[in-house]
Amino acid sequence: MADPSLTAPAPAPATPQVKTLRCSGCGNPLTVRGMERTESIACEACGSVIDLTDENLRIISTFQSKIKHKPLIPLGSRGKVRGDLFEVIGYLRRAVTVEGVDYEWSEYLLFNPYKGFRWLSEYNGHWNFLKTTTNIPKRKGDGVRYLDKTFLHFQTAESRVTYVLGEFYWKVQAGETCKYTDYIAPPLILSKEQTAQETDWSIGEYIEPETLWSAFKIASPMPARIGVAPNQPSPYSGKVARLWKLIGYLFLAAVFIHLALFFFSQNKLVFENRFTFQQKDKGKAIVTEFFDISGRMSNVVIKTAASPLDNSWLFLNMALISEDGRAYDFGREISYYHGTEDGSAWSEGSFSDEATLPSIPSGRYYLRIEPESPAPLVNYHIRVYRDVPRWSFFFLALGALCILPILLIWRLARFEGRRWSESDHPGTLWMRIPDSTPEEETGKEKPKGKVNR
Amino acid sequence: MKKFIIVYGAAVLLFMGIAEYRGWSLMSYQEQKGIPKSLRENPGTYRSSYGGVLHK
Repeated sequence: MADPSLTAPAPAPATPQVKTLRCSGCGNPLTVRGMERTESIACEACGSVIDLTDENLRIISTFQSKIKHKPLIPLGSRGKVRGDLFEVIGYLRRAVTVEGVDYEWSEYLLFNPYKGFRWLSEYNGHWNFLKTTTNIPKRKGDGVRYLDKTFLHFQTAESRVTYVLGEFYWKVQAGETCKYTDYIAPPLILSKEQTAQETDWSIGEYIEPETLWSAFKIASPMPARIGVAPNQPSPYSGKVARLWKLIGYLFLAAVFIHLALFFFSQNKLVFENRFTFQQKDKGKAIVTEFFDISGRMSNVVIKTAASPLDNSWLFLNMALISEDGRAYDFGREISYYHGTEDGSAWSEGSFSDEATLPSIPSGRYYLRIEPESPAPLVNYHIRVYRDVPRWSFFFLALGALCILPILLIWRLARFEGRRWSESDHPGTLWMRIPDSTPEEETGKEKPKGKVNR
Repeated sequence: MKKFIIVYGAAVLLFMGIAEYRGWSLMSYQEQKGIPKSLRENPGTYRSSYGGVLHK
């Protein structure tokens, strides 16, 4: 949503049309830049707000603020924002009290004689560029629809004006309050402001402070951004979908590689025999005849099955030994237990087992088997396979490929969690999808009028 | 970022391909060398790493 024209060189500024007068409270000279549209002006020296529509320049309120706030963008500054030249003519501070804590933000009134008024709002180093909406947004669930976008409800609170400086297009009052409701669709924000007299809507867009500092040629340092603004665009949104797409291609490549190796593997039975263990054979080892393991270096799978195993076990202490004296030593247990507990049958274990020896070179081999069991007699069957396709590394690869999107989703969730922690919906509500409640027109709201924020 | 993901993904696929091609396994075993040919005549002389394992 960045407007490239913001960085374009500004045209030679026209001479601003201004009017000067003296403050009715202290006589301080005041400059009116908003021409006939300005209704009130606040004196920096004494805090008096003067009604410019009154021929006697009546003081309508006085701000007794102990703290003199200094606008980050000085009044009278001119800069090109979103392609139009604006002048800063007013500055005010608003506050909201939530659970006993005051939160304050700044608002700057901008003026262009052809475009009218705009606002810049700043909170914790985050900036928004706002203007009055041309249509009334439509209600949808607890959010609203506007510009074909769904805006989620963020916050409803009552704000009050705590400080003013410069001129305004309405008669600003000290401590004047309004109920505001913010809806967001980052980088956009919709604000509904309600007073006893009227309801106004304004739409804003998150704007990078660097853009403003450059546009208004501000020399002072930018305030650091703290936290996440309601409509701050997430640096991660959009990336997740692109990342999943890329990971999808890698998944397909993994499937292709795995299937190719799967179909080209030998999966060849190289040895098979049946044996019987009896108690008189306890502690005795046997060896099989030689068998050939051929092909490239690959795995060897030894599959064993035993019976009868009735609440018993068979341990096979085995070694695959090559003709040239290398031994791959391993032990496998087959056990099967069953019974009844509290009226329900249970069982654990099985009658078979499978062991995979990795990266076995080709050659002539035999098996040394040393069985153990408490059972009087166990028959067991041993089969040896060469180059058997396995799924474990395929699934490990899929898991490894999922790590990056999961990490990105976690960071996105953390960012959104920080955003929504400041809202009326902290927790996981940010994940909600706006419901399908039929759209309806809002009541007596007016699309145009004073925009206080 | 995209470059990193492609490099990372390629490394994962390469690892998977090598592991499957070479028949790697996560199973534990012990490799011993220099087993005499006479073992076939007298298999009881072999000292297995898994001897003496306690069972249920």
